[in-house]
Amino acid sequence: MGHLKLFSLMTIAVLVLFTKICKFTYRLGLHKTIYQHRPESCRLLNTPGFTRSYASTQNGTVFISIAGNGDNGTIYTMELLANIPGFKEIPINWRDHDGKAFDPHGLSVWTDSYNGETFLFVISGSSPGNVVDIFRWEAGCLEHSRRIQNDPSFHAMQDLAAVGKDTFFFTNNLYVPQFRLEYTLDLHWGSVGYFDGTEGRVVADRLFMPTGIAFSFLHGLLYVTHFGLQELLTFRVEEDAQISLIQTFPLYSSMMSVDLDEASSLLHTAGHPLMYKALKTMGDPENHSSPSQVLRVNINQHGLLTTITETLVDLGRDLSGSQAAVSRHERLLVGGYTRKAMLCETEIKRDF
Amino acid sequence: MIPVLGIGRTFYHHAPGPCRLVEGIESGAEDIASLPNGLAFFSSGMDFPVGNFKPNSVVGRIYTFDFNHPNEAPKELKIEGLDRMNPHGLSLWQNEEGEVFLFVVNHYPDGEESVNKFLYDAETNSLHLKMRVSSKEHSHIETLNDLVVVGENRFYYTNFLSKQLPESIQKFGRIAWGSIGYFDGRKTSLVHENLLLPNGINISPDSKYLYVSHTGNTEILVFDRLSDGALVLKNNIQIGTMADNLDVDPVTGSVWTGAHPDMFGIVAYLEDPTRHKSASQVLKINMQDGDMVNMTEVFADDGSFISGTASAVHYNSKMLVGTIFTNLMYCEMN
Repeated sequence: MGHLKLFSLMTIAVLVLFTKICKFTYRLGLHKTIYQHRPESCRLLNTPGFTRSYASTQNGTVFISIAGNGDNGTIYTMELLANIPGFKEIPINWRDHDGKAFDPHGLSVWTDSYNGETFLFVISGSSPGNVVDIFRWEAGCLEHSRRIQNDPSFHAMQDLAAVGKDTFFFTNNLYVPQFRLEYTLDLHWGSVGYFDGTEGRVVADRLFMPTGIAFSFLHGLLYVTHFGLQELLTFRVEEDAQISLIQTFPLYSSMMSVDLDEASSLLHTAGHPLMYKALKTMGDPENHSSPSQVLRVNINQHGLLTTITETLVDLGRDLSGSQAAVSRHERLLVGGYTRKAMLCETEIKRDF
Repeated sequence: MIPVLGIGRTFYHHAPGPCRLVEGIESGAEDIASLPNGLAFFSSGMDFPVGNFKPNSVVGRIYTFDFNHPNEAPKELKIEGLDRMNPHGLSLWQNEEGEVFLFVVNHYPDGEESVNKFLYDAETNSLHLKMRVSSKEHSHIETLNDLVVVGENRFYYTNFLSKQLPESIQKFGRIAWGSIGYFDGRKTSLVHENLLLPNGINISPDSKYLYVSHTGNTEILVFDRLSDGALVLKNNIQIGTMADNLDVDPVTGSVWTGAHPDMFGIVAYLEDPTRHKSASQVLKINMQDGDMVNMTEVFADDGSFISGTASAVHYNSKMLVGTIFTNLMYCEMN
């Protein structure tokens, strides 16, 4: 009987291990064949460093977090709809706070509909990211207004979606946080949290490395890229900021960002179609390139995700390791683990 | 095997510009060839393998489509000298006098295979039969698929399958009994053998290189042409998908192909195209001296918009995409 029990346990262990290996192999994209294509009119722009995240106002002012060359990162802006869009470093007035350790990652823009004031929310931290800095955007300058840190619900935050003057949803990408450990062992220790102005709390857990997040004010829905399971999650935001999952939309690629353009009911997401290459790029972006991919998802009148279009694939020669994409008025900007960004004119064809 | 089977592959839709299905074409446009003036010819209503469809459920026809007037409906060409068509691959030849000849692969119900040469008459909108190269009179003609004309009466052709073994055994047993044949104006000969489902065939603008879609191995073979018509394999370009017909842009030399990225999808579609969809793909492969420079996926669809793409022709930022049994798609490229 003892032998039978041991045999059963070993069989289960082998099956579990086999399943994990199969899932891991699939996630790496070893089975995939990808083909390069892009919109007809695209051009490459030099960027001051590697692009981490974008956040745009509705009229196309894009805030960009750029990783520094060994130093801390910086915030830039780009007027996406300008005739000749360019990167502009933004001065920051830190007031009473210390800005030396500022290292921006995920971004979100929120505009107060009463007085038109615009605020930029920034995840910061050398171990990404356990600090949120909130700035008021005023006359081409970021005025620091609040720093939130040491909140027990913050764990290796990746991105955030502001919903009020000091309230926001955020993704905890990891828990330990050791990317390779959690990714390889299929550990679903990520979560979505909500900060209510005073304290944060986890509102959805057991997620496998959630990355980008965006909030629809029109539909009261939250969109989250579920990096580990290669899908896009749609949550309905209930009272008291509780969220309930209403849609799981497969993407079949490990996507990093969500950009929601409510005016055109489009969602753009950028990421890594071949993770086995992206892992090398993440470890050493100077010496390894990996393919980039941008997907566009149409949203229906209820805010649900409907159809998907692959807007761009680059095999990594021009644009390596895409991390973020933003689109307004048929103009698309994509950046990643490279000192280049791709700017494209995209014609939106819903009915192709 | 993974690229052949297409296991785990995702088919995202994307298009190079606005695309629409051409009205009136519902029995496919298996192969397309175009003249430098933008007049395209395509075969429609193919029954392949012969007997796949109920008798008289499809009628073989040849149409023209004018890229310069894309809103005009395709024109059906009157066939003179042949009672019935079951057209497959086709190829154009224009002589020094400006006469246009269309060579068409034709399958017959009794198993005969032939290449028919027609003179195109633009005034009467008709094709006049001028020559037949038939399996009844020539050896080395098995189950034909496509051809490319390289001289007044000279052409290369692909034997997609051998007649010596049942089709299903060759296809699913991966028995490489396909071949490339050459007709020199008098007789046929085999110039390359042991291929697994050789399909589309075409030639570089400088006539130096012959391109053949080696469907069974998801690659495009590039051959050097010798003066006597013999071929020497120069290159095999792995494309990771089953390319069907090949078209060569006369200006840039790029190879355009309609392809089948999903083997299970295309097998079901071939069985019953009214019930089963198959993912579609158009690739452009830029070439230089017989080597691939780069490859772009121009169009892709999971089969819900267009299913079973077999051919793609490009002309002045416009594209015509044909399918084996179902539709024809026209795109304007931004």
